[in-house]
Amino acid sequence: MTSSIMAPPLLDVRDLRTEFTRGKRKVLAVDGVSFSLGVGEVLGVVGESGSGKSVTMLSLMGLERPTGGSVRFDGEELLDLDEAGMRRIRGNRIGMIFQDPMKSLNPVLTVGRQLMEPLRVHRQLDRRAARKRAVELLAMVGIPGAALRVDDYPHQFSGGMRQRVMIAMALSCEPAVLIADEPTTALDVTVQAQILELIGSMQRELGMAVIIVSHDLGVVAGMADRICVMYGGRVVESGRVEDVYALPSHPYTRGLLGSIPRVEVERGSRLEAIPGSPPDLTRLPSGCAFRDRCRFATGTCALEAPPLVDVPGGGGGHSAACVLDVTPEAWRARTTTAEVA
Amino acid sequence: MGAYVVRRLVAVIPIMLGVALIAFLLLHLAPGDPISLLVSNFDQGAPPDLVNQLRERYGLNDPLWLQYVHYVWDAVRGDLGTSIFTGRPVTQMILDAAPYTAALAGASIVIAVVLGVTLGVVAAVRRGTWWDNASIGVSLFGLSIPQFWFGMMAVLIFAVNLHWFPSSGSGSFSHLVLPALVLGISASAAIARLTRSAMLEVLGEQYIVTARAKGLREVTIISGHALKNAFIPVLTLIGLQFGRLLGGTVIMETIFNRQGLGTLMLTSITRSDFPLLQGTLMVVAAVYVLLNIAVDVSYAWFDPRVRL
Ligand SMILES: Nc1ncnc2c1ncn2[C@@H]1O[C@H](COP(=O)(O)OP(=O)(O)O)[C@@H](O)[C@H]1O
Ligand SMILES: [Mg+2]
Repeated sequence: MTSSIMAPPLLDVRDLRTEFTRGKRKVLAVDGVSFSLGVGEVLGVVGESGSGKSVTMLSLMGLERPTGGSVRFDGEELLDLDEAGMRRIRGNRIGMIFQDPMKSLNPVLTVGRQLMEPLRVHRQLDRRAARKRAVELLAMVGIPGAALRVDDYPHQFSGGMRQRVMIAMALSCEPAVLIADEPTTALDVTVQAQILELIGSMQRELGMAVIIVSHDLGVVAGMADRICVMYGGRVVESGRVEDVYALPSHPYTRGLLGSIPRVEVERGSRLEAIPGSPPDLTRLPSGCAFRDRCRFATGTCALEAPPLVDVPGGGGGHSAACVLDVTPEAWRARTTTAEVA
Repeated sequence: MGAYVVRRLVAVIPIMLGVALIAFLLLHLAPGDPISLLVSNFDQGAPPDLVNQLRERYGLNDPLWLQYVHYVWDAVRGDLGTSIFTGRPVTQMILDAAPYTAALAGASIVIAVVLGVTLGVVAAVRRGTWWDNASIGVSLFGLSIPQFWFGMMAVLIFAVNLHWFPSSGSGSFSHLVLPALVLGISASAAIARLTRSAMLEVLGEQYIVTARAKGLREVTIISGHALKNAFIPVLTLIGLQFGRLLGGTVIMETIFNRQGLGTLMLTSITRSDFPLLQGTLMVVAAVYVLLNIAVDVSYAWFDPRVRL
């Protein structure tokens, strides 16, 4: 991975902002999000529901209108592209799959027809060639009897099979990046593992980069090279998975880790769920958005949203956005006092 | 699918028997005797034996149930009786008039669907813009203006004043234009409103985001992905509109002095021509029932989740 330090990243998102107006209120769903993704790299994006993960992904695809920032993909600034330019990227260079496979496929069109569309639009394949490729793709993602099922409608498939169809569709033009937004959240537990396995094997086979989004740290931890933790529309911690696991530095990340059983955090710290409810963007506290749920919040936290800074003693590229002293020693001291209290 | 259609068609039989019975009873219980009307031009009243002879000829002396059985049996063989007023076979009179009504109803429904769906889609896609307001305006106009008034205004403006189209008659294509436009525009209003709301709902669906994420053009997404979904509820409405449309043809035929089933029905009422009235009622009812079956069958074509 030394080469990726030198080469410019495949996808570089800088200070992305997306704003909605709800009534008269302005809602900053994405508030200065930055991350980058190298060729063939897997990035996990984690955070409770409502933290702005989906809007971030839709914004970089141009499916929501970002109000600012920059999205450089393969040397091109996506936010400067017009609709036609973005269409050339979507489904072709960047594929995307979504949370609910029951709702993501058009109920009145056959899966074959839906699979053929990107091939016909981006690859200019004729009907026969596209159909042949559609069957191959269905077989590739593990749909039994692909040649017969290509003319079936979505309702004739189970949830897991529909997510496989979605994956086949997103991968049909062999994109450089696959964005998987909560790809397993709506599925049965047994099926979840199979879908993650499929995404992993496709990633290795096609050598593509993947952004896997989940509210569940456990889902992304096994797959991702690096993770980004989001809260209230901002990235609050990011780094290589090992580093973040070894030294979770933002209280929110520690909370997320605490809510996963079986994960060893720091000796002496107890397993804890995060108290309070997921953030409501219309009434975020001033300063750090997490401070109203944070056990360690102080007066300074209300002043301004802390920027992402390198974690002292963390691995390269490990950063957190917290005013606290996030060194291991400081955390050890804090957790033991909390234990005593 | 085939079995479904057969089942629905078989169910038409009791429906038509019921329609025949109701029409039959209503007409025989209603005041006004066709025979006395027929002989009313006798100055000092008709000779009783002539009346009786005529009653015998039209089978009016038989018990009611026997008249009904005769009627149904003849109808099954395509004989709807003889018009009392003209003396011509009712079936023939209906066959002569039906093409005019079919042309009017067919042209109107095509106009209604094309115009309604187009307005609805444009309004939904351009929501909140001038286009949206304009199309809502047009459909409010269509919903609130009575057809007869709309029809008379059309005659006044485009036939009497501008001479663009003939004001009455039914011979040619130009005779069809005005009544078909009036009926079609008036029926398009409800279709436009429903299309707009169905389209707005569909455009918010996740599979539309999927289609965009594939890099499809917005035009393809609207016509290829959204419209086929949005059309499903509209189809129900179109089925319901047929009824209103058939009623509307009666009004248009009167205003534009057109030939057709409506005219036939109205004259048969004023002349107490029972066999003719009953025959037209039967035919109109049968058409309505069959059209609704056609609508139900077409669901399966638009929505693969519907199993027939
Ligand atoms: N189209 C929209 N209009 C207004 N607010 C929206 C819209 N889409 C998302 N939001 C808001 O943006 C916030 C972030 O949403 P989202 O990105 O879906 O969260 P996540 O994917 O992390 O669960 C939520 O508060 C949501 O209500
Ligand atoms: Mg989401």
